[in-house]
Amino acid sequence: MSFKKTMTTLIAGTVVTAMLLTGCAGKPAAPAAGEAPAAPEVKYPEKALEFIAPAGAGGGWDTTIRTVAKTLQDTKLVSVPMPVTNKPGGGGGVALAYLEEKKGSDSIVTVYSPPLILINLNGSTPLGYKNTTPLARLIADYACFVVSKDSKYKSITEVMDALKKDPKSVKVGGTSAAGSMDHLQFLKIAKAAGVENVKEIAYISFQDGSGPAQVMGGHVDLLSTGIADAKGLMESGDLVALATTADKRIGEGKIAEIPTCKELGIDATFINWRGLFGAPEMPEHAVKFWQETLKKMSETEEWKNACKSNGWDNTFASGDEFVKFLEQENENSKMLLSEIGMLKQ
Amino acid sequence: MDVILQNLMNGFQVAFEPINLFWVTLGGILGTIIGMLPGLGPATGVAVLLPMTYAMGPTGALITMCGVYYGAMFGGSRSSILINTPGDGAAIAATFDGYPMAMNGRAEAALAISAIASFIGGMIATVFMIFLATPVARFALKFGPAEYFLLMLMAIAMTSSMNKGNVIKGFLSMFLGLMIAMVGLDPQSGVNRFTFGSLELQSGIDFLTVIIAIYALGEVFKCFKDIREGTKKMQTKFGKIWITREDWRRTWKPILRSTPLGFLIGALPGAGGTMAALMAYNNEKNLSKNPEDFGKGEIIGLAAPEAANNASSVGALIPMLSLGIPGSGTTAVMMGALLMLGLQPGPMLFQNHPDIAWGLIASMVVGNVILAIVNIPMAGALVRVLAIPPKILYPIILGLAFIGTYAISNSVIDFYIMIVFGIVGFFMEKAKIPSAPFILAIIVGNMMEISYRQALVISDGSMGIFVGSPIAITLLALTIGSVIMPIIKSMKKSRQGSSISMK
Amino acid sequence: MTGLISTAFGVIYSIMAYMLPDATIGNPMEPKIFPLMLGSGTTICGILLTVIEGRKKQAVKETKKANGLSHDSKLIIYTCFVTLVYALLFERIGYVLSTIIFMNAMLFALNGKEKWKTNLIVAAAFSIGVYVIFLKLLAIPLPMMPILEI
Repeated sequence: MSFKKTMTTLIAGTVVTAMLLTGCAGKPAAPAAGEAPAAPEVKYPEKALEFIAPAGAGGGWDTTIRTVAKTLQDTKLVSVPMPVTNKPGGGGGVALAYLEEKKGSDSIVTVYSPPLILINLNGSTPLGYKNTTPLARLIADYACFVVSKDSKYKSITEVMDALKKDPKSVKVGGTSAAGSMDHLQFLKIAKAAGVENVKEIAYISFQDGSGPAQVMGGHVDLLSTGIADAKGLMESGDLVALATTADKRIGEGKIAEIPTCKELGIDATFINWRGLFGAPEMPEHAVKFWQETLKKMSETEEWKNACKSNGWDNTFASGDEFVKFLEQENENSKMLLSEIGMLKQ
Repeated sequence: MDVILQNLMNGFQVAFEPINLFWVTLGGILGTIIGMLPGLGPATGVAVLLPMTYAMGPTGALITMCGVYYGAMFGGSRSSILINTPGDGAAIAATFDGYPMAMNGRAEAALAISAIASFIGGMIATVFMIFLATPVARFALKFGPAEYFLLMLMAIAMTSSMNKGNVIKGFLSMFLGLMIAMVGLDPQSGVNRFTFGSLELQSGIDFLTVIIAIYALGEVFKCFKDIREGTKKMQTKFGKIWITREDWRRTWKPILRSTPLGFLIGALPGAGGTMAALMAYNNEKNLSKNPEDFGKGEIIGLAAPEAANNASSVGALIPMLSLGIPGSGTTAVMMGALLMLGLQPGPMLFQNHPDIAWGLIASMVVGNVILAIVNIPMAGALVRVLAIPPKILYPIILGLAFIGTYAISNSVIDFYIMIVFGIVGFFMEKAKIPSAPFILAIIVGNMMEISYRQALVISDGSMGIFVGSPIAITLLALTIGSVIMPIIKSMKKSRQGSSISMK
Repeated sequence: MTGLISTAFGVIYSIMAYMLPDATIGNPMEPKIFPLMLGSGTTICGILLTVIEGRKKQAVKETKKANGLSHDSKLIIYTCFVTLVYALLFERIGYVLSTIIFMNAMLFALNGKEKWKTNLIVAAAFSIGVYVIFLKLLAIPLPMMPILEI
């Protein structure tokens, strides 16, 4: 008797709450539905999409894909939910394995940058950019090298001088895996500055995003990172940026005060492009939708503002142009890696 | 000091706006419900409700998320107590004594003390956070890879050695758990380890799947006969959800002791609620005059981890708010949400958006009060779940267990993993190998190995780094002490025992 | 028993850890060190347990009792089998249908055939209720039934 009663109450309760809440959750999406671009043959997207950041929260990939999701939603270019999930690990390799697992899916969109190519070339994973469906290149970002505010190093040249004497004397931290972007961008600059045996430089990867705390706590001497990643702590003065890898001054405010490596006499740059990718063998209609939608998005005011505040260059490219760019990048990276001795034979 | 109070007052003004009060209540209730479902913890709760918050504006969104976060922390231990299935890692400790309490017919007291301890832990931790956020954040910076490794080593060593029957079996359980954590793509080198060619295993085995398998499936396997024949002990009469004066007299000190512990552990990025709760449990067991009562329905064994667990969830907000670094899985999701709302978490948040930062802190206080008020009557309704005959309740638990697992990974592969671990859990139980070290090891295993390797890269291969700072030495000493103490104790006892029998 | 099994497992694990591929960057042994430590730890625990178990056996002759496992183990095997079928059906016929089948299989085993009405109602109410909560309230997608799209 009492059991029956409980069950009925339970079920009734569940249904009522469910109805109440669906009403609640449904509202924000409803007005946008009419304005969604209607594809002629296949209606896409109809279901919730799956946006993936192949790293932990707060990093460059994470910021990029969340900004994309927010811009698409604010500009009503996409009206279905776009929840972002973080799949960190393997310098992006874990997420690549996941994409491979979901081959042919039309609902996954993820973000990548040079590590997509690097982790394949250095042998971390057999998967590479060929195991994705390239959708579009969106932005270019630049690296910067930061130290704690009470560090003994006041300029990048001092760091390089110390490394020339003893390549093990400066502990370098970064967010990407060893042999991937944050590591390589530093080695590229170090090599250009005349440091020999760059392979011996100690590199510690903090893939959970704790790098800034580690450099502030003095556990590593220098952090090789993206400009946007350390922006908050640079503005508060806890971290000091020694140099960027851009070819010109970028951004606004404190960011624009950071010198470039070129200015300081180190003739090298490193560009961190970022683009969106789908699962391998993504259906044609979805690829078409994303190429068109992302192009529209890159032209909106909202996107331009987001780029400005993050210090990104808006460099849209899609289709063949993007694929050719990736092939070119692959060749360039091969050369860089073999110079440093990290190319997998 | 005046500035803090002034800011706090402004924060309360934001929190007391009717709409924000509504959001924090709604978030808290939804969070509690989500937290109760096996497999769905605070991180999933915040993540799935995130899209709902987009329309609310930054303040409302943050406040709602905080409510969900707290609610899920409150809710996670409900299912631990009632059906021995933790909703989340942090609620494992609540099964140790909470479930035996319910079996002994004290489910009401268990639910009440869990809510009370959570409330006190959360409140005091919030006060700590208001006045101590900056020094605590500075202290947390002192933890480098070596210190993290030692902290995690201490936590699992303590949990392993508290096994009452056999310390070696505790450590065996720990090693097995660490082995499970090794499965998948090695995050440092990208090498596949123990994946046996399976693509699905590359991303590792989720600890939530293992928790659900060992507790929910394990419980069903263990009690099949009793469930079928209707002889499984269950509470059927229910009283008021409250505790006795005696309960309170015994628990208030453990609650006050466990709160600062939980808060500090929470403030260390990555350490998390599971560690805080288990460490508080071990600590109280070591301090207790009757440690053998622990695990049999000792109310202190439930109050302490609950207080620590909620205090750590407050502490975990510190790295996010003061440094812009996610302190836990849940704060990582919240940080993502902040970024999407155009707010840069970190030291500048308090300067650039004081209304939001302080509104958030004030609504933590408000949220805690509301959750405590909501939770006591909710527990009164929940406890009646036990009135469902086990024959029907357990298939429902199984159904929930599978859907919870599916929600974590969206992959059926986890069903197979669950069967495997259900059986593993069954045999571990038969061999009297404790499951807590196993699960804690799966949770911290990856981070532990990474910290170990990071530390050795920094030190260029020298082990000296593990005694290289006062913190490291203290942690190492505590670890060794926690392993040796129980052995000495048991040796003393057996010597006394044998000397008596000699006479 | 436990001791011997753990020792064997620890040794096998250590060998497997040693056979893991080398890292391409940095110290090639790096991905193996920690697993090797775990393997040896398990082996040591196993040996210690074997020694202790051996001593106990000498002191007290182990009282072996035939525990009523047979019926329970049948049910455990049954549950595993039902779960396997559930996993196979889950993405093919959708969440609602497969869960109704799974719940019924479990309920018939535990609650008995006589109460088939209750079993059917509980199974259907549970599957549909969870489906509504997950899909509508939490927006977590679940596999749908083909053709009917529910």
